[in-house]
Amino acid sequence: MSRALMKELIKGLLKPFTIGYPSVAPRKYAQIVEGLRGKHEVQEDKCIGCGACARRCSTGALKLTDHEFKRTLSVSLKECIFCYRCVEVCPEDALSLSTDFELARTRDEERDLEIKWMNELSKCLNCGKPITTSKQIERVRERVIENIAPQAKGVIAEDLKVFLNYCPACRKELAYKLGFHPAKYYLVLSTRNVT
Amino acid sequence: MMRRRAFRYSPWIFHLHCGGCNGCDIELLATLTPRYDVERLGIKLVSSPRHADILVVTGPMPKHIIPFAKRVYEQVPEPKVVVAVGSCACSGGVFAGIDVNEENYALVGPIDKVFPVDVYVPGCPPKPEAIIQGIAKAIQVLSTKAVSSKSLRR
Repeated sequence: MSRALMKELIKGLLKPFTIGYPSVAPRKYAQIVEGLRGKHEVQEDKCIGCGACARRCSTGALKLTDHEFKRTLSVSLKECIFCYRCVEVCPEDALSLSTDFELARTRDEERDLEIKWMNELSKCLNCGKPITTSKQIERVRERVIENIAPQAKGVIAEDLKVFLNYCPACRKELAYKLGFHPAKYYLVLSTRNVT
Repeated sequence: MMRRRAFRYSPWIFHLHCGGCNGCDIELLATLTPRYDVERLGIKLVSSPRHADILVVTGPMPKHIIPFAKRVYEQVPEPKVVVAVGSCACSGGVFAGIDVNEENYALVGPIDKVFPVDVYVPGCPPKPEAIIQGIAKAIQVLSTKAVSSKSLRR
């Protein structure tokens, strides 16, 4: 008899092969491997509400809905296939999957299978329509300023305060008024070609 | 009292496969192996729905399976509990489209559109332990149903 077989035999005699999963509370145990994908864990203070997770979701379990200056993100665990794509794409590392696999629920407890969190939307300075979440605008400003040469930082930081708080349509108008809009340059170019 | 004990300690399950990728079915078979040894809980896989107490349904329910699924559901004697295993059975999962416009032409959708589901076990596929937890929940539902159902009282 080989040594490996003997080892297995002794192991089998010493420790039961069966996993006694649904046993009483102190002895309740299951085989949990590292990297097991279970219920979502959301750090709501970290989330900026950009909606990248909702866009990447492969089954439409993670949904984004805007309603009256509030952005709601919700995960329906009944639809989720735990593919990890939302966690991969999250720019702020706010989403993660825990190892909680005990998700079976009866029809009355079905509400537990829905995770919801909210984000405030900010108003456009000109027309008052909702743009995106105020947290996301702040984060974008920070990131833009990080990558700018130090001598231009002060001017651009003040400009961004106005530009980022305008909705896309109003921003276009403002840019046209101030002479930043690319359409103006196209116009100039086309007239040059004609003459 | 005796009936309640009988239902609690020997729930027999029937496995109904309604389309899908077979992943949940393999996990369900894994729960029946000695590794998880569900027979210590009295759970047993039976080959006829007429002997079963719990109907374990997997898959997203394509349209052509509906009459057969309904027939199997009706063959299970009262009181019965339906457990939907996997995200396909719970909500359509990957087979249902993301949008309303992208709906799959071959599916009815989740199983609760065809017959009432008592316990949902999400996961793609769920761990064998998660399936055992689902069946444990189903046993609780079954023992309450066994007391309340009129068909058992004489």
